[in-house]
Amino acid sequence: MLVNLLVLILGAGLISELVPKNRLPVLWSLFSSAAVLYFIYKLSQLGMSPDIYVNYPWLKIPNLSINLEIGINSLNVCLVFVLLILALLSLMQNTFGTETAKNSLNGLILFNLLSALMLVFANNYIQMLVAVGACDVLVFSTINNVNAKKKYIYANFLADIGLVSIFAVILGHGGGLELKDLGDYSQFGHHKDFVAILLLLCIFIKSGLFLFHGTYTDIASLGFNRLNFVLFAATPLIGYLVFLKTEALLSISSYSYPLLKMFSLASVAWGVFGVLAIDHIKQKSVYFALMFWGAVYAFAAFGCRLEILDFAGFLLSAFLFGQVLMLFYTAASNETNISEMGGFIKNLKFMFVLLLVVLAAYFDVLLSLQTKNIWLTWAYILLFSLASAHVLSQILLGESRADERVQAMLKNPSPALWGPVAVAAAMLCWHFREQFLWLAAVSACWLMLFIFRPLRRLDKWYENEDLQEADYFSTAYELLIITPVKVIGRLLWLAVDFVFIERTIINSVQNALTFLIFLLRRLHSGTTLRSLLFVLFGFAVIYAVWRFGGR
Amino acid sequence: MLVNYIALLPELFLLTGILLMVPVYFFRSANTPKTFYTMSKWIILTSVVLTAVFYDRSIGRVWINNDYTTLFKIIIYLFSLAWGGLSLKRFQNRDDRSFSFYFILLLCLLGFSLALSSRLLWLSAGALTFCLLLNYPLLKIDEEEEYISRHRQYLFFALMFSLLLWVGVWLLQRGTGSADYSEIRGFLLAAEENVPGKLQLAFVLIMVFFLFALGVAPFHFWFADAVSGTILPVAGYLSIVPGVAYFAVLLNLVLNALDPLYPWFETVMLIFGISSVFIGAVGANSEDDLRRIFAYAELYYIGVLLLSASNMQGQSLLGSLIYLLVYVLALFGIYTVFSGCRYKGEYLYRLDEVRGLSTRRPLLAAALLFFMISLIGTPPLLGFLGKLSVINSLVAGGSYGLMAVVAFSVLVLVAAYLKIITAVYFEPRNISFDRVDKGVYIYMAINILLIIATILNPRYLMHDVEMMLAAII
Amino acid sequence: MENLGSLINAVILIPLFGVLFASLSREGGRERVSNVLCVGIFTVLSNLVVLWRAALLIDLDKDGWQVVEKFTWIKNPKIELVFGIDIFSLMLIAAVHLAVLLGMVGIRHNTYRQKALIVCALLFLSMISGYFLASDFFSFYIFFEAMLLPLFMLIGIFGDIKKQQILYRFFLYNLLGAVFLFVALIVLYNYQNVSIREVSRIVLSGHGEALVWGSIFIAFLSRIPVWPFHYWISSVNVNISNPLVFIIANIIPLSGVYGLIRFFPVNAPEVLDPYLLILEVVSIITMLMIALIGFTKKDIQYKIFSYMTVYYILYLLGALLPTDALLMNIGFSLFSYLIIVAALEVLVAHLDNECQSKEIGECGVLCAVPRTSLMFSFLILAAIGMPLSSVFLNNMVIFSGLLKFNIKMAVCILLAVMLASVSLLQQLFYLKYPPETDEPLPPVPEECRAADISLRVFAVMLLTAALLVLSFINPLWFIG
Repeated sequence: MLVNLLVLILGAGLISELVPKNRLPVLWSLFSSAAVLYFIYKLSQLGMSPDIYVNYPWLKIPNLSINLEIGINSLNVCLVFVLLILALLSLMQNTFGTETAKNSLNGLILFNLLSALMLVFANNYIQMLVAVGACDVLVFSTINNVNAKKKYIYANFLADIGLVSIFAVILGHGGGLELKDLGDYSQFGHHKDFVAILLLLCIFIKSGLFLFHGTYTDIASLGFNRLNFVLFAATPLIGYLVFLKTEALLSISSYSYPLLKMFSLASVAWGVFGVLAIDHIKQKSVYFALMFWGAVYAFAAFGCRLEILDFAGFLLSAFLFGQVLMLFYTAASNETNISEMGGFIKNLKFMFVLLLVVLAAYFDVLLSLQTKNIWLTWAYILLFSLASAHVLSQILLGESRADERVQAMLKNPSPALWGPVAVAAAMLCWHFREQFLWLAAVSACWLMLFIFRPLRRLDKWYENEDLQEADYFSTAYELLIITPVKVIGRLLWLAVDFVFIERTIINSVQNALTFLIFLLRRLHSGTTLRSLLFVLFGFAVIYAVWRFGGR
Repeated sequence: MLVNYIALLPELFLLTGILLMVPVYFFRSANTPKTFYTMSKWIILTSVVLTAVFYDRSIGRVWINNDYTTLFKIIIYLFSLAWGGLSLKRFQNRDDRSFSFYFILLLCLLGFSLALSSRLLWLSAGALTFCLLLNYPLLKIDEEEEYISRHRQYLFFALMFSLLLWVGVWLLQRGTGSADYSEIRGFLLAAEENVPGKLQLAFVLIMVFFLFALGVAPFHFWFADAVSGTILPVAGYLSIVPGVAYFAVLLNLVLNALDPLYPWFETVMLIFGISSVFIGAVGANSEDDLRRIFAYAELYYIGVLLLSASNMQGQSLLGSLIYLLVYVLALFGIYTVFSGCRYKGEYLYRLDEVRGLSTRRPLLAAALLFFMISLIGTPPLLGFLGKLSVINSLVAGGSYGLMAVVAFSVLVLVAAYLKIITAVYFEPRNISFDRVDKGVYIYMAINILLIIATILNPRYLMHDVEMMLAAII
Repeated sequence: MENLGSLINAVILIPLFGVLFASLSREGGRERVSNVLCVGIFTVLSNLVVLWRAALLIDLDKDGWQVVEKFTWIKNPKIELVFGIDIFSLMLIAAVHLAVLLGMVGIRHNTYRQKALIVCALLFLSMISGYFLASDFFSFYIFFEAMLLPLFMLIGIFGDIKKQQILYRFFLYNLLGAVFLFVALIVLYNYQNVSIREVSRIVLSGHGEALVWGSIFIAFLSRIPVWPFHYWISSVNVNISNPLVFIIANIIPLSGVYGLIRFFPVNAPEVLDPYLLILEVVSIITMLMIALIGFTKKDIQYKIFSYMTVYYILYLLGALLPTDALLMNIGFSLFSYLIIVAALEVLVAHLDNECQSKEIGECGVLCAVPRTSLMFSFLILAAIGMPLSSVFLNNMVIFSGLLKFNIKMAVCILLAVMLASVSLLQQLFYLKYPPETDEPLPPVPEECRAADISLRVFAVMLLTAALLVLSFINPLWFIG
């Protein structure tokens, strides 16, 4: 059954890719959504403890005999569900949203779903790497902005090479191919620090954590639905799935967890700063995602990695929050700057209610994490509340700065757009409903922050153009890595290729031949005297050999 | 036995033919350029047949025909015949009298034939001197004014080295008391270490003559001038035939008569061989005249031959003889191509004249390339077999240094060939080329087929060369 | 059932027959596929069928040459030409054939001296097939040197303005290498005449060993773009715009890598170990250097050269590891790698031609040509090692061998691979995505737009892509 379902997704994806980009987009989107929905339905019939395992012999190349494994069990079923739901929500938004090339995006979403599922099912790291690589190619195709594409593929390609290198080291040292055996590497492995640190860096790049978040800041120019899909359902998620699969390797180095703590906390902090400082609503969404992924890794860094169910809920709620931002953006006729919004509550009352439902779901999920690490949970709740209240307060309650066109067109989006979000949020609320009192308290606090907007002074950052356009990390990479590499390359070409080989070796050979030719021409003047000299030389040689014995 | 004098039949036939040409030239009014070629053709063909038929007839110890002499004679005859055929067009185009060329050609063949079979030192020396001096009248055919002094210079040196040869022959005959090869050898073997200095000097003078005749450095100075300062038929003849003949006679003489005197001379041969290789390779690069380029290339090949044959041992000689035959075959092909490269009836010799030949005469250009690759020794063409034979014999003999010289010096020579290939293939044409005679194509095709057949099955060539060697060792 | 030996002979002979037919064929005019090209394509396809039949007869579990065909060439000295085949050779021959086939597709409308081009290409195919099948010293050398001739002619005919200098370099480097190999093989032969696989049985004196193996080293390295031998290949690459010639020129380094794979490292004596280390260091420095230069240069031909160099050296280093275990992985990887580069070059040549004929800039040229753009993107992503071809997994295995051997060196290799790949990506972005501007650009007139590849070429490219994906899913798909 499972294989049939996967083939169904593959088929639907292929159809979406093969039909013309904008031909009957609603029909094809609904068809794709139906395929995913059917998958969810069939999966839900199996309950929360399914046990399906299929194993296909795949590669039999020397040194690499691999099976393709597909299996759903109680450990990964939640992940499968959340992946399906994220794909479904993205497809639904795509059906009625304003996305360009909808059919193509549908196909990419479905293919990405497949590759993510293959990653979830992977029990050997070859399957995992293939899934990661496939996902990279798909997301590269999904991103339809040049600069974003560039940054994305450069960073992720490097990460892929890094991942391949890590597993090449393990393979080289006889570590086997099974992911479950990675823990044993600490016993017999070599270059443990190298492996662990490189693995972490690759995961950080994939998830776009602090220092590597530049990969995703440029995707703010994408359509909002596409953006949310990339931020929550694609590469960063793949990074985290890789982390889940390979966590056993981190324990082989004492540097791993300090590094993880550092990067995750810095990511949350930088995410908060970004949300508060940047005016662009999509970039804010990117920084909210950075906060989210930072938090996810922070839990793992402090020894309380999220359970799959918690992670699924957390991911879904973060995604839904992103979708809400998208709906505000849509309602405001695609106005991108928060500072250009304000006072939308009059026209968007229903949206406000939806926001509260989504926030309730978010807080419900967060509150359920208290048992893992109370400090982290509450710190995150606080930071998230501050940041989200600051942003949404500006949109809904702030002084209206929207231009007339936006103001005139302001209205709640169609139910087709908000409906899926509302349903998903409601389901989340229902599923994580256990701490009602805490939820009420947190919600009240959030409302206080929303109404009073304590960080309103930071609004002046929106007017600072330098800050808004700054891209510190890209500039630093350009100056510290790319420029020196280019200078060295140029110098090498000049010094080694041109001066040494062309001007020294090759010219020397040519000059030597020219000199010999010159010498020969001088000797062969053709006069009788010169000829006699040759004859004499010949006789002299013979005499010398005769005189001194020869052989 | 009187019947053994039948061994002289090919030479007698040649002589008769030569004598017959004189009255025809003087008394027949309807002579055309083709007349003398036709006569030469039948004379040579008949001589070939007679040589093959009486291949093992000897007259005592003074006239010996064996596999070695027979095969070399046939090779010389056939190359002369073929080249004579190709040369005809030159005389026909200009309606020139071809008598001088074909007459001297036959005389030279007679001379070489005598030198190869004769076991009398004075007879061989006489024949060789005759052939060397005959080059002068050959060079005088349609001589260009600027080369008159060069040709006189050649005559001077040819006379000088002939004189040296005769002094050597006189000293040797006086010292050993005989002109017969085997008796000279017997005397020298008996003398062992106590060979008089006069005989050593005689040996040197004889060897020097051969080195001059072969154009070995440092006695090479005349060859390029001679080849470039004359008409194509003569240049082709000088490049192809005498080299094979002098080398064959030299081996015959050294192995059958002078080998007790030879060992110390090996070093001289090596030095001269290396000089030839070096000067040949560099010299070819210094020229723009195709005939001069190949004249220097020939110097290179002669140098390799000397290096290979220097120790006069079986395996080395086998290698050198294969090399000789292979390179002469390719060189013949090169001259065949030259005879097809014409513009307004004039042969083209300069590099800038043959630019873009491939665009207008692709078959000619392809053949030139084919033969040059064979000359370089690049597989899969026949030159590789020659290179392989020589280098293998050098390695088998432990001469690694010489092997390195031979192997790496070819790179310098190839640079010269590169110039030709570049001009022919990769540069734009600046003149049109005359139609190529069918005969040229036929000769080219036969040569190419011969090369291909030999490279695919070299056993026949190897077998023949082994037979030749067995006859003189 | 066919005899495998006959098939081996056929693989060498079929292109020679092709040469014969191509020489007699008619060249085509503009916009028309000529007979000579059809002969070329048909010949290559025929040989691929023969190769496929040969592949079906090969026993995968058997190590070493599968079948040996002997011809006594000369009796004194006794020289036997011996030919054999194994799956590694077969894959390389197939890859070279496919690469040349793609090159032929790329020159469909290029009528300039097409006959000479096809004749030389087929001659080259025959020679390189013979080289991969050669099992004895002499046939190995014969084909090693003989393959230079067609390439020499091709560079001469199709080279750009600087072709004189390039020919000089080409000749200097390659013939020098050939002479070294010849000398070394003759010396080895005089010690003991054995097949290449048994070459380690020959016992030489200490100095002799170093000299002979050193010569073999230099001979093969002269073909591989290891410093300072890289120079001739880089000169050729940046001065050749004909895709078929470019592809053939870039197959030459493969002959060097193959030679080293056949002779080293299991066959090499221990005395060479220090030299191997030096070679490895020089190779890695070259890799980094060329990758850095490629990163800096704007010329796509140089970038492809840089990529090819880095990968060739990667395979070389993989082959130099003291094990034969990676041989098949190198083979599988090389198979895809050659096809990717060939297809890429065909597209680059098409774009270059369009840009030159319509006098348009290269930046963003792919925007107007969706088919080319799709294939170009696919090929670049496959080239840099995304899981789209057998390069991905097999390179990983090669990396694992290198990382196990010496992690510091391996990290440098990885850096070079990354740089070379990033260079290709740079080019993809340059060609595909013009810098975004705030204001929309005015529409480009039709006559100033680059034309897309034809549907036929697109179909060939799609087949190529499918082949690459197939090689990823099952590298030995062709034998079931």
